[in-house]
Amino acid sequence: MVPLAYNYRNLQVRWKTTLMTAFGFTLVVAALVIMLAFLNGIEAACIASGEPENVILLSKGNQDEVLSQMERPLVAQVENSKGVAVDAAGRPLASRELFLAVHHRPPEGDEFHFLQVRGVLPAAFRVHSQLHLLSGRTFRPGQSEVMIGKGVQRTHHFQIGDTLEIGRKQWQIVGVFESRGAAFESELWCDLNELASQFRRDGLYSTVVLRAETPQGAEELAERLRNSRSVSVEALTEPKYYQKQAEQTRLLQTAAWVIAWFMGLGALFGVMNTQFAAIGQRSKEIAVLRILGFPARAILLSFLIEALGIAAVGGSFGVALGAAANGVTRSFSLGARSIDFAFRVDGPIVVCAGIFALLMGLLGGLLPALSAMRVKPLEALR
Amino acid sequence: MKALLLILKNLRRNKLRTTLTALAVIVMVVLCTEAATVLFWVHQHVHTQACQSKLLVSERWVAPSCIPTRYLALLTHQEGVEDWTLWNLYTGYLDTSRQSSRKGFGLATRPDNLIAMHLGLEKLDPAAVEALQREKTGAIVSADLMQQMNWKVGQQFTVLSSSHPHKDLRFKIVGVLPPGEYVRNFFFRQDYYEEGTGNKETITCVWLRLRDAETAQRVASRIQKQFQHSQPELKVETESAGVARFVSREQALLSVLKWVVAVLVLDMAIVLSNSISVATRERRVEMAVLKVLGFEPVVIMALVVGEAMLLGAVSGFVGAALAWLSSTLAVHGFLPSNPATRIFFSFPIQAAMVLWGALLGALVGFMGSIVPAWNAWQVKVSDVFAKIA
Repeated sequence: MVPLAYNYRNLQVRWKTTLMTAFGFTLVVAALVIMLAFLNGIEAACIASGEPENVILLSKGNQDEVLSQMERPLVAQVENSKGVAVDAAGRPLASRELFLAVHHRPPEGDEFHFLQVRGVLPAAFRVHSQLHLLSGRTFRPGQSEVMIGKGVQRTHHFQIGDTLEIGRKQWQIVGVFESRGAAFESELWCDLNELASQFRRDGLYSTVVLRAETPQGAEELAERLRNSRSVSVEALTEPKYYQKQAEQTRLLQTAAWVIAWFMGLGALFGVMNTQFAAIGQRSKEIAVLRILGFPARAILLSFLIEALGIAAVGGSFGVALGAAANGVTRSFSLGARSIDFAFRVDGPIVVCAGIFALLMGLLGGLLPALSAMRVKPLEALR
Repeated sequence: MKALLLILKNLRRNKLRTTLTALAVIVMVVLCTEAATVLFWVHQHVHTQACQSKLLVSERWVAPSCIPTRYLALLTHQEGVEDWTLWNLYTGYLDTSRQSSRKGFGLATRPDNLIAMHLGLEKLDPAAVEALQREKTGAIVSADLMQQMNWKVGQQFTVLSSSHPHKDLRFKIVGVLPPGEYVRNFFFRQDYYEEGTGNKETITCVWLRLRDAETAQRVASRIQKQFQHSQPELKVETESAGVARFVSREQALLSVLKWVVAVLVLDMAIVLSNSISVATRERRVEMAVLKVLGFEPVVIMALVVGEAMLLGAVSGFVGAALAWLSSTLAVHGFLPSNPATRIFFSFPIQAAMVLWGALLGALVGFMGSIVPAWNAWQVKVSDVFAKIA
């Protein structure tokens, strides 16, 4: 095998070209990491949103809370279904909710923005056990008070004590909550009855969330409700519901990989160019190596190692650059609702990006290495 | 002319290097063209004049909007309104699998001014509109849905409604929407919507076309004032503002797309720069000879820049032409419908983008050749000949 020091010194001698080629890899790998971190963040937010003991009910044929509408008699019927857990007072653990996408125009701006408002009753805090207050307090029913998720606070820069114009009323922000990165953090929560009367939705609910004793119990409850002849609803455990929401990113995932492969192909041609140029400049050296007794496959390996070295260095910097996006928060629309999420660079992404960089280096280095292997010593030295 | 010949000869000298560089640029320009098409589309819809003289009227506070039908006469008889239409949203699944990828978004509207009131329908076959006026259950369906569901004009389909439970409607396809604006939509008649769903009380939104942007602003504020104390209150915004609001929800995605475009441009510049650098290094002796022959350093520099720009422009032209060709083939159903083609060709690439590709390539060539050209300028005749000696 040709000593690795030879490759190292060669890369040093051509340091400008080497650095430029490696930088090409850095950019491509960084872009890949950012695209995957973007999708990973959305998926993580969706996964965090579901509690396995909870079953979410929507009106028949609907997969989205925004369009779902259920009437009071139906809701009363499903709340008393077999398998719904009860609280200490013997009341079923069921949360009636009204979810609305509301237009909001900030006082200083002309443009409308969407705010997602969820009207809930006190039972909601027992059903959604992940949710807890970060600061302030919970809203008081009938007092035009709202609590905001920390995602909403981050996006709109609202503070406790601020008032918001929603509908014809001014609502005061009294608390900020978090929910382990779940989609709820992108919402405002307020009194269900007050919200319903404000927007002419009295007696209508978007969803009902039922809590079972165990995750297994929740699965059975959802199955029973789906197959029921007496009630007509869509019933899914919360993790499944949010998983379905996350499925909307599958197409984007395909797009991310197609973009990455195209970019990688560009970088691959770049490496080929660099390596072919290196071989052109070093044909005499290759000939000497062959005369010294290094077999053709050692030459092949040596040039492949060089290409892989460039890809590895460039790829490592690319991963580091892409990882800088980790934790950056943005919002993204899933169907009719939007969620706040944080770009998430994790182990599998780093491994994927690393393999991608090395594969590109290997493919880009293979043809030049094969041509180096075929150099005829006598002709090259002549 | 002589300079051009010299550049061409130089490019032909190392065909492998020229080919590899060109391939790298072509591949990246293909991607860049598609990404830029999406960004241009967004920019065009937010900033064009046509979008600023069209008003979108919807319910002030809540989405999806529900405007009472009784408001319609008051809105459409406003002074300055040249034309109007309405939308009622009707969504549902296109087959019993009820997968989200098989969802369609129907828009019940007036058929008589369908083309005039909708941006992006200028190329819609008027025969399809006539057929829609004749056939009450008719639907003009997006090319994307037609391809995905493997439908043909004349065929019937049923929508399993998610927006109107138990109100599934059956449609007959009477035409296909031009690709671009409406990806998963189909247009059908408002009277069929009313009859099929039983909803004669509300409409989702109303579109008003005004003479110009100034009139639009005036009418918007008048309507807003008029309905300020109504229940429900109304929200009026220009089409541009409406698009901007929806686009703002996709800001994260657009940022990633812009980052991708930036990376591609930079990567192309690096590949070109590397290639031209190597070529310049190999030709130092020639450059020294040219200088001895009396060529000004600036001419030598121009030759290097010209080589990179020509290579970039030709590769950019080919890359963008390939992107346009693939898009055109996909739009006309010559490429199989799969997630990749649906994503990348939802925004059809215009033929003019081919020129844009060439310009981009030339610009990238210029960027990439600055350093090598500077090195060529710096070539010292004495040093080069001393080395040879």
